[in-house]
Amino acid sequence: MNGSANQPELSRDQLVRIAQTLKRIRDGLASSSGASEPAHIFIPGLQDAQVKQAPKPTQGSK
Amino acid sequence: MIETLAQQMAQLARGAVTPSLLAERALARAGECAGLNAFVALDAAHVLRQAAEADARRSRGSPASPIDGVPIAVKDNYLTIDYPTTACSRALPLEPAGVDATIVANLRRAGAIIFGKTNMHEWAYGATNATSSFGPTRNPRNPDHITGGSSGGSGAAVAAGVVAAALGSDTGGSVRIPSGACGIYGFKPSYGRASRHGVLPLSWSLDAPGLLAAALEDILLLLPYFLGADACDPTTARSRPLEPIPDLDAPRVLNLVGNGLERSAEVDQVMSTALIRTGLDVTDREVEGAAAYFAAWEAILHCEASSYHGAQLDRDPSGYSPVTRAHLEAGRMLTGVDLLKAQKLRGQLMAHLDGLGDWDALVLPTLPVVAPLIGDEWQSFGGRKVTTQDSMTWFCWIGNLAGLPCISIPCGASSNGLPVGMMLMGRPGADEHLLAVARRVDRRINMGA
Repeated sequence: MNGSANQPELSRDQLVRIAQTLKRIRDGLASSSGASEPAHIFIPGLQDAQVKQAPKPTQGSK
Repeated sequence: MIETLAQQMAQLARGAVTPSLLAERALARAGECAGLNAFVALDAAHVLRQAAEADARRSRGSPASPIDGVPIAVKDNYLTIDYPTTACSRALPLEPAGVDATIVANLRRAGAIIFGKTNMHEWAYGATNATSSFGPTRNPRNPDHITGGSSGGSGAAVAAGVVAAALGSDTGGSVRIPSGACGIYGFKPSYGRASRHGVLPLSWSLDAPGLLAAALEDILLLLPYFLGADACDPTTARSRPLEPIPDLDAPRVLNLVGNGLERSAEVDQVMSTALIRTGLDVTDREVEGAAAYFAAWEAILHCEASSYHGAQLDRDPSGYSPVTRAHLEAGRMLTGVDLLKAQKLRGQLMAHLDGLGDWDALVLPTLPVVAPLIGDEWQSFGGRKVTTQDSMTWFCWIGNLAGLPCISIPCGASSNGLPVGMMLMGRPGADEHLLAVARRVDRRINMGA
């Protein structure tokens, strides 16, 4: 944990506080009964690319 | 009883007072209350100049609006052209901005006197108002106690009767917390209903501007200058101006309970008594997983704040207090996976609240404890021992994570005379519906109706 590019270095109190904050958040996030991960995730660029590459429907075709 | 905005407007309308007289009274009261440390910038000559201009408009019979000439205080994270904006941090220069925040501009255009800038927790990044480059604020109800924050100076200014209304901002309760702790009214609109243009960000997906006032009616009187679309804030693109407050026959209210939503026995007693007095249909409803949702709020808060402050933090970390810097560094150490989990939980909370059934408002105490003593770092209640900081945001974060409209209403006092606030929350975008419930509750609890 180096902190910001320009020091002063983080103090021991600050380092302890940071560690406690991270632990509290990660313990909390992990405590979720947790719905399953989504089956698909919308990724704008990827979907756009797929739409562009998809064959265009032929007029009059059934 | 403190004078309300509605009373001031009525006095102005019938010529019983002039804007200059209101301004002189407010300045005198601010002087009497200087020990509360509510204001960080207050220029008496500038206030009186604004008041004289309002006098002239009213004497010509052409006030700019019904609020022309009323003094309104502004939290020190709203940009103003006449006062410096520092967010009570040493990281920003003491210079006025080139523009007003949109809401300040709306009020100024309507003739309101921009009275002064109020003290706040540094960068709004805390809920006690103990950390400020100008020193802590003190609670007008008992100066040995905190105001709560981060809009603590605005809360103190209203509760002390300096001004009848003040602007605040709310990322995890920063309008509602000082309102509850100081015994006044505080309203946070739905996410995207009011412009944040010119309000220094803390966490852009959680932030909302808000109002602190002496009465619920005062909030309703100011919302026309507050709600609506602003081209400078894209999140308001679908916002509407204030619509008529409906009359509700029998609002259904859910009292949220569960692990992580505990409160002190005294606050619970005051709340229970107040809820009975409302005469409303109130049903307890369990919220499961509050700890995970709270963690999601905190993860989003730290990540977004760290992103916003990153460059400044690299340039000059000494410009931040040690605690604020630690928060920002923690935000840098959270991972993308942490943030994705948090955002997923945010969606789950919104769906969970929406799915609680047919409800008009959700209710919780604003705070699980009354205003703590200045210097107390820990609070014990409901079998828990938590930091004073966490006790302040204990319930309020729900409204920010889910983007709900929320209001804090005074609902009683503890045995030592400190106020207890009741928080009502509505469905996203249904601010007027929430205010209808709040009006009914307020009339029953505080107006004997």
